[in-house]
Amino acid sequence: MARKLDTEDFKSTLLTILEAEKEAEAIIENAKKHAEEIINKAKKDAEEIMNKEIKIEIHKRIENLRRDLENRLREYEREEQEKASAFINKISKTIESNKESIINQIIEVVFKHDKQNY
Amino acid sequence: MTNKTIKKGIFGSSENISSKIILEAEKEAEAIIENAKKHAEEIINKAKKDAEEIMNKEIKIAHEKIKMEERRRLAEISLKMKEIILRERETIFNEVLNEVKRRLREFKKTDRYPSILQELILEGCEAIGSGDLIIKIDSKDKEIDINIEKLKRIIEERIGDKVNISIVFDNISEFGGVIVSTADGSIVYNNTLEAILERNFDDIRRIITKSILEGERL
Repeated sequence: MARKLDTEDFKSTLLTILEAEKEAEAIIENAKKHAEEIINKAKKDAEEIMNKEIKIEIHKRIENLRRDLENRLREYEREEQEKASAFINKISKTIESNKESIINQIIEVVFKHDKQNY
Repeated sequence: MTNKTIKKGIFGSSENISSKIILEAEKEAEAIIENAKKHAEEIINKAKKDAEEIMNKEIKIAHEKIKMEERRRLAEISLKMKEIILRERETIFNEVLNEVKRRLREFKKTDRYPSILQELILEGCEAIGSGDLIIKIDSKDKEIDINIEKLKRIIEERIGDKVNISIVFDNISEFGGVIVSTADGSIVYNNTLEAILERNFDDIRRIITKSILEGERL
């Protein structure tokens, strides 16, 4: 009888262990599945980084460089225009103040034959 | 692992063995997940690193292109400014020249003009030389008293030879002056003030440019 009981106990113990083994296998299977999902997601994210995010970032940075360039050029052109205007004003003023002398010199060239008569 | 568990099970309660199996499985699962997370992190980090490298490369290329464009456009702006200044110089030059022309037109109305006209005739005749000469004077100068005989005498004295001169009035000049030619028209000396201005254009330009440059240096 005792022997029979031992066998029953052993069977039940074995069954419990087998169940535990099954559960353990399931836990590990789940973990593997989850791990695969984690890796796959990482790969997808990496692909996203390489194909999308990086392009957006490059585009954004180039846009910034272009905007900076346009601002610099606008500023440069404005400064150059100011310089040119100041320069032209200076010339105009000099010519205006020397106008009579310039005209007389030219007329002297035209009437070089008889400049005293002019 | 299973054999080990069964073996142990003979010596302990089945619950304990089960708990141990589950615990070990959970530990293994945890390690698997940890490894996966680590690997995922590595994948992401590598992607970020690669992306950074690609981005730096692309930005470097873009930067170079933009620098080149900047140099080109700066040169364009400088050229544009130079053109503006040149145009302005030309405007100033023309304004001065127009003022000179205005004064010449005014001068034609003064009593000093006849003597200048006479000089222009003499200069033209001297340039052509002896023989039959035709002196074209502008119709608007018809009123001016020109002593042909006196002129003839001066010309002959200057060139040391005989000349015959005839005067023709025509619309030849706005500012005044004369056109002297041989009778057959083979030699023509244009001594109108317009022609003189044109002949001396380089000198005139030099005078004005000199003043402009003086202004620029101030």
